[in-house]
Amino acid sequence: MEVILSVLQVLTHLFYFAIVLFGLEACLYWLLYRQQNSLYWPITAAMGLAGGLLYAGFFAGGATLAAGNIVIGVAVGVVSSSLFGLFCRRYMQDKHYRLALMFLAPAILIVSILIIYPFFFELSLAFSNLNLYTVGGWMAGKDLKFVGLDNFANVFTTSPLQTVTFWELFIRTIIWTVVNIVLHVGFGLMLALLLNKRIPGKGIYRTLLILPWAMPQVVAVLSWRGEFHPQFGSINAILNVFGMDAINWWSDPTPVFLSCIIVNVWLGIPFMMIVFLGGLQSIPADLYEAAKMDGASKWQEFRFITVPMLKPVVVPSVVLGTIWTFNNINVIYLMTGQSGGNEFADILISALYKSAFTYSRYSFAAAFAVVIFLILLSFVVFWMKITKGADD
Amino acid sequence: MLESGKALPSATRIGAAVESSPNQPGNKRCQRDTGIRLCDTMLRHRKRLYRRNAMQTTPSCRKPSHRFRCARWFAVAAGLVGLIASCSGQKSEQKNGDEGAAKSAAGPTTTLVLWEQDADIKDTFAAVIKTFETANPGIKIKSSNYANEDLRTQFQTAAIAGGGPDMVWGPTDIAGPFSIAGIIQPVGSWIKPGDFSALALQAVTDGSGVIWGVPVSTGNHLMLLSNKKLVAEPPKTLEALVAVAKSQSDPAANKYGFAYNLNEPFWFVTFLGGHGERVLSGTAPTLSTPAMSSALSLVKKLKFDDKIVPPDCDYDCADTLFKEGNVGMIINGDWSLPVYQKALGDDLVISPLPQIEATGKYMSPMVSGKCLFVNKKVKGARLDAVKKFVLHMVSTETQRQMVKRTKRLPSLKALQDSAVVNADPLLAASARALVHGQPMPMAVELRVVWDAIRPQLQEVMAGRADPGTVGAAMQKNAETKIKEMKQ
Repeated sequence: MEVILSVLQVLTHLFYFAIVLFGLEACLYWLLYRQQNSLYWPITAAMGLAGGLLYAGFFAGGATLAAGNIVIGVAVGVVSSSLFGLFCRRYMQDKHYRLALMFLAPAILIVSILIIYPFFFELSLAFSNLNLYTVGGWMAGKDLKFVGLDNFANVFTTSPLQTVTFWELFIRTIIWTVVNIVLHVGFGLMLALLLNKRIPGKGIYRTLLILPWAMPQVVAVLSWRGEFHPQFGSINAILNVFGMDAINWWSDPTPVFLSCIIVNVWLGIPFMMIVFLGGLQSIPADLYEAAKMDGASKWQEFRFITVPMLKPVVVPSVVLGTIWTFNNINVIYLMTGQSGGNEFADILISALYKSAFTYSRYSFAAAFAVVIFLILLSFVVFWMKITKGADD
Repeated sequence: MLESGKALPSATRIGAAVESSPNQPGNKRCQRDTGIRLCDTMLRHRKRLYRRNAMQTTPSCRKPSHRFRCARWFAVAAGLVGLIASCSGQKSEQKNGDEGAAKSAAGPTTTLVLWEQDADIKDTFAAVIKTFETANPGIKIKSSNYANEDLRTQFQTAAIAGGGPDMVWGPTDIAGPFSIAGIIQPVGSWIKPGDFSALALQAVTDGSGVIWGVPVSTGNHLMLLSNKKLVAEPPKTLEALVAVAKSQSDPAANKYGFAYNLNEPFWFVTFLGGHGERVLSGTAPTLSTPAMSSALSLVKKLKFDDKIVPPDCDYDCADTLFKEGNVGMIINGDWSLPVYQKALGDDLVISPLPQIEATGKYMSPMVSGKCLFVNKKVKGARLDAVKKFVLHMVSTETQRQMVKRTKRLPSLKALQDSAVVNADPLLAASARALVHGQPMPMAVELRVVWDAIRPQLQEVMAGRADPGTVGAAMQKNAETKIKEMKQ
């Protein structure tokens, strides 16, 4: 019975969501397609009024509906709907634009709620002093203090964790990302080339190779952590068999970081392999035939057919892989013993998580996140610039 | 008719004219002018004509009836979902109402949410909750388990956003951050402080005397546990312990006589306590002390010189070694007793942490207990229900039941020296282990101190740092972090 009730609850929420979307589309339909109607302006203004009242009632006022909130809500609603109406009449005459806007509206709504609003909220946090001591007052409605660029200065001058500095984290993150991506792409391409050949039992190999990707990351990483146990783990046991000394994978700085890289490489290869395999299969076989006729060697075939034809697949997957690896918190967080663990392998993103949720430095973490965002943004812009040729 | 044939600009009009003919101006006119019979004939005629016309001029999908079919389906589906949703809402209310009316006059059922981090005593929880629910038919308790660290971070995040459970069950060291952040409420007025063990109550009382949680058990303290099969008589001093452990250790064969969670400050402070030092004085960290150097040298010696502990042993490693009978002695807390009792039976021996001969002091565990905290957002009738549950948890009967099942000491003074504790050898021994304990401070600074000790302790235990100098680094780090916490 409880299951049915919870399903019904979900359905109810979906239903409310559908109503909101329906209302949104109906308003847009009015604004975009009924511009010649003689009641265009009154109804547009009424829509703004209704929206303002809803906002004041549901969000700003809640149970105690203050007169000020109503006035502000209604005024903002009416003005913004009229402005939008004006915009529609002025610029939305092309029917392609209108239709596109109708289709995009739900996505715009969701992106605004989930990404745009939080982004600006975070920016405002980065310039204030939200921490364990001020959060209580802030919840009770007190304003936070504006601290200017203090938090940003702290990001570069103090440790987000215990001892490790921002610059150490930054360099470590770059090493982490580059090494991982090079190995992901290298091994992924190698395996894809092997799997693209006619070999017996290809399906079995492919399934086995995709396994790391199919397994839940938390489970995979925690089992790897066990394998790296300095005394009882299988990795050191294997090293012992070959007469090598046991390595302290859990508490020596370099081995800790190395173990994280090994695990992440293992996790990341299948994705690249699958993407490249798809790319390889889309290369027409007659190109290779023609090359053979011209007497090209295997290396020349790879260099002049496979590589250029794979480029459109490689470029976006490398961008994706870079951002994922840069932002990969799971592997580091779990491999280094979670929040009570060491900080020998922490990268920017895991340090960010710990500074916010282990050390409760909310405003500092917000500023830190903005810095990380700017780093990633500049990388993407740079990457897009240098790989522009790949599009042609 | 010709006229009407001409006046057919679009398919929509046709539909409108046909389907809502009684309201058409033409219809009214015909009623007025020519009487009903003629009107009917005309209408029938018109309908036929319109239909033929419509079929010829418009494709079927643009027929009005088809055009609105989709919208109609949508409306029907939406109506149905709405109906079901409202019905289910009513139903659950009704059901709750029925139960409430049948069993008490309290009205609809209040479901309180409790987050706990004590998977070990899941069954005990279920039992005491059931007793409570039977006695209070209007209240239901829904409990969810979290890992220790998750409980703290998740509750903090949820409560700051105005959500989270009504109650949290956890160790007392979360009281500091929670009270500073203002996400729990004081509960001192609910209880008689005099009834409770001072050690347990002190851990949830802040500097100005406000009580932030209700202790349900006393303890959470570390003790020396040994396996009778391997260690006949538990050592009284650390020096004796080292001697016994040495005789059982063979590092070359990966065999050791003693184990504990080497890199965790909570275990390390027992050694520091054995040198007569605490980590906090009020709210100020006291980490750069001679006692710190000696304590660090001591734990380093146990690992590198005496070689009696497995070199890289965390909690799980020590726990498994002891449970499987591979290690004779371990330092662990009261929470582990039921599990070890199950694994080792009568071979499990509990004793206080040993005395350090060199200092003449006993190793001193931090003592607190498990507490219930109440979310700040809980108000009104809900708060009354929460209060009922909290008081149920510290009633003599519930405490007695919990002590028996969980092997943890009660928080009520009256029960601490009663038959229920003294008759059980495990509990009596656990109570003796408590004697040399130090109350765990409630200060939020304690968290910072843990975090400041940990990396330096790891460095010492990895043989990379000198025990004599890291104390200063810990102190500096703790002071910086306390300052940063307020930024």
